[in-house]
Amino acid sequence: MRKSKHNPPRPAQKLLTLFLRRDLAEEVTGDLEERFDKMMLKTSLLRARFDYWRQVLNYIRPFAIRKGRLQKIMHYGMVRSYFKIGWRNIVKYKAFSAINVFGLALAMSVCMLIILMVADQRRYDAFHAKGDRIYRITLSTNYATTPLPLAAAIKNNYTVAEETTVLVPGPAGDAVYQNKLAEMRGYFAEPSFFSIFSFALEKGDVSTALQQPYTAVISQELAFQLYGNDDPIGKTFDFSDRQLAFPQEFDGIGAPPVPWGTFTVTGVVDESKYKSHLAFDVLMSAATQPSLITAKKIEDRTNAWDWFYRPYTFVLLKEDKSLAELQTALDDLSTRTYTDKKNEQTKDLRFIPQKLSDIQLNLRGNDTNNRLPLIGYKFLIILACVIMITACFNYTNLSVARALTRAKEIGVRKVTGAQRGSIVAQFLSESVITSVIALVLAVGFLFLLAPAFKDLWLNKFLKFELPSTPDVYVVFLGFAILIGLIAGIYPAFYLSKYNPVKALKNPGTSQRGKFGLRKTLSVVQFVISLFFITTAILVYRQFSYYMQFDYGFKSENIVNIELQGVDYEKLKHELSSIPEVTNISATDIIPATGTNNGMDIKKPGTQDEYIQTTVLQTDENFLDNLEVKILAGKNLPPREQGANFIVISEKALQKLGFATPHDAVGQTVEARWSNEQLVIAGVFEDFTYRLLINTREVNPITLRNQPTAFQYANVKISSKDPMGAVKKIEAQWKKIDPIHPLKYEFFDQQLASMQQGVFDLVKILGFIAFLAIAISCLGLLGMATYTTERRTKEIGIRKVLGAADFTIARLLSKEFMMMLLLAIFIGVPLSYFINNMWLQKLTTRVEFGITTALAGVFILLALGVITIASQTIRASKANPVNSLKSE
Amino acid sequence: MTGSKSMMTDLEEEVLFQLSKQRTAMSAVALADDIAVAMRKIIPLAAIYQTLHQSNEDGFVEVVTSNSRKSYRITAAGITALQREWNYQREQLKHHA
Repeated sequence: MRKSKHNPPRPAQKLLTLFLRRDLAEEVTGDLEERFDKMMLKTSLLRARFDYWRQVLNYIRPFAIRKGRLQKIMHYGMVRSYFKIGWRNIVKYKAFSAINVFGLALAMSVCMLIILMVADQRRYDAFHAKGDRIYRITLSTNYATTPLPLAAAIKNNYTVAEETTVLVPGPAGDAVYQNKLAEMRGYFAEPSFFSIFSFALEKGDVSTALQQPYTAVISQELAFQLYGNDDPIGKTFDFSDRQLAFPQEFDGIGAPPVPWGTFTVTGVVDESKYKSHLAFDVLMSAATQPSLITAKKIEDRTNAWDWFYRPYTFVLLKEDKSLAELQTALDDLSTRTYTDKKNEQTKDLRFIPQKLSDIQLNLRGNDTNNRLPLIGYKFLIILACVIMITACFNYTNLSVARALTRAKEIGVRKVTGAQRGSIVAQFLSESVITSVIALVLAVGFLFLLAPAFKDLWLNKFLKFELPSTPDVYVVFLGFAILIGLIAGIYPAFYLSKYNPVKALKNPGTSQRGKFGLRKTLSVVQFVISLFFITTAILVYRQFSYYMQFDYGFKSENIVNIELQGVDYEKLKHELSSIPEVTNISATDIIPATGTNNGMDIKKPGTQDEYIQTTVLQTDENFLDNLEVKILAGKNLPPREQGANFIVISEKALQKLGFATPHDAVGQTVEARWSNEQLVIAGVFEDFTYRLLINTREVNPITLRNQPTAFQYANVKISSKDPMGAVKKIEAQWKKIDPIHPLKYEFFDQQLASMQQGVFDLVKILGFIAFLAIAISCLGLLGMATYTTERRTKEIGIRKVLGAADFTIARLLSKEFMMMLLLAIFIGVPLSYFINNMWLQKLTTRVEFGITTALAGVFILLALGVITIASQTIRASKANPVNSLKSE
Repeated sequence: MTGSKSMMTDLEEEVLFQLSKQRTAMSAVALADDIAVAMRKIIPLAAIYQTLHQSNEDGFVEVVTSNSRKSYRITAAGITALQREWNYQREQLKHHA
């Protein structure tokens, strides 16, 4: 039985089992664990893990390594000799080695960044002592959430679970203590939460903290905001729920404050200590829920098996139970529960357990935090692999090209008794050394790359920290060795198969016919480069297009103020006194920023299908404020004149089947679900409502005037001194709401920020394109250098016989230019085809066009020609006397 | 001992010496702790294992298995070898003197 709640690093354990002699395995692993536990008692977790790694690596010695075929070839003395000779060869051919090292390092740094990203995500929830037995229950519809009664049903009806717990996102509003206010977001949690998860309390007792109604465990930061340095245990706070967005930023759009009562603090958790997919400011006791339900402050979902949009259910499996047994129990439960096969919502619904350690890397719908979805990693991994492959191509190309130089060496080795296996090992050791040297350089690149990545706008949401721990460096080393083996495998087998007699007699003959492979690899490299260059240009053009996009409304000089529960009419009245304020309107959602609500309408009394429209709750000034043109009828009337008026967009008009805007005015439509009869007061010109990247087509829009739903005031200000006007707005705001600070954003900046994700993509693709072309040009440089070196004597003879410099340069460049042209011939259509696949999914898009292709071709040709010319012109200008003396 | 042509390595000698001080068998981890104190440096467990296995093959150390855990005990041959090593070193010192 292990004493420590922490485990030794798993990669180290795996490495040990890979190579350790089987008869030693049990004894060694047991002793290493004992030592790890001892270290844990004496020092820190980090030091204990570091020591474990050191101990494991120390076992890589002949007596402990499992005997196998490899050991016959990799005799210790031989291995030393391979590496010594490998190192000498690297030093001897400095230029080629530098090209290989630099190219590999560039590509490796990108791969290492992804390794860091994955390692960063793997650290989430690693601190839970029972982590290997904790499962989150998800739905077969890919939801991370499940019905509220599920946890209790598993615990009460099946024997698989030692404990279950459910977390319901609920409290999201203001906590007030003696005029100090703090926003808090969190979950309703049961006492069993602390039996499953290892969040320790800095203050308070985990066994009693969430037992009583109206008790709460709060974060250390929140405790400091409310109580300063006083002991928070036993202190109270008044909580008003505002339905703030939680756990994701798009969950909830806010609501006027609803007082829930006074809560007593029973525990404080230091959230900075834990890296978890569960982030919260507060855990309110689930026992509070019944009284809130009675007071009609929250909905009663206690027995709602068909409502599964918010609760997160966790199961702690019994030690003797397996995942399969849990799945069987869950299948039995879903079959018994969802018996109504006609219910579209619950038909075929299954519960799927998800291991705690898999949660962070496998984002589900309705998940608890922003994360890069698995597809994002796949995309990045594909990009990195492509770049890595191009770098490996360089190594292969240059190594095979040097076959001529090394054929004699191989022949001598074979004649003196070397086996093919040992020659393969010799060449592989060279490639591994090159790769390990590249690793050192790549670590340097990574130090530049990682901060740039962390500065990306996307990282505000993804929160990658990318710490490099000893574990990660061991993975890097393993990765470098793997890359060395991959890059070196083809040259090793190709060079080692030389016939010694032929190799010694005429080394040149052996490489005949293999230039085709080198050409192919180079062409593939340039096709890849061209693809990335054109894609980066295209994405940049798409980004520029989005930035200049005409939404159909004016966003300039509008400040969107979050109402935070303040009465809109009161605010409007106060702000009207500011001379710079020219117009004010209200809305529940800011258009084109990613949030939307829907309403289905149709002509009443018809068999027509309902049409889906996006509904905005606005006041009568909204369309004027955004300068949207009314095509027929009038603007939305003030609320006092009636609640059943709507104004609709042109698109809605067409979908409803009205011939002209004037035909629609005064007509009635029927709303689905509520069955309300709504009168069309007017028709306005279409504007883009959804995020540009999501827009398939301009969607129908309906506007209604429902003041209780208003969340934002849109304040138009004169453009002379916008920040001065904002200061005056702030002063007026403080008069109405002295507690909440003014929250505002300029509308045009808000819209621009929506495109930041696309701009990040431009940066990433631009960087990848740079790497691809840099690596390809390095390869080209190597090949050009080699070719000119090999043909030095020929160049001399040609010059002596009267050939002009230009003729020689053209002769030397010809085959490379042919390769570049072939790459363009293949790359342009390929890029057009692949890029059009994603472009077609966007309605608002740029076209691939001839300019994109020409720009890509120009960049590729310019860099390619400069690279080739740098070598060929130098060779053509060389003194023929020196050239002829060279061999 | 450095500089003289010894019959044992420093670690072999230290392992046998530490085992000879104990009446009972010792686990490799416990032995590693004692050796770390005696030699004032941390010796990897792998090195101690290698030495123990070599000594076991030479007949200087025997393996005791109890509750599926292996421990090591010095044999009579081990004690003799250790004494021989010390005698050898003493001779070397005399010779240099």
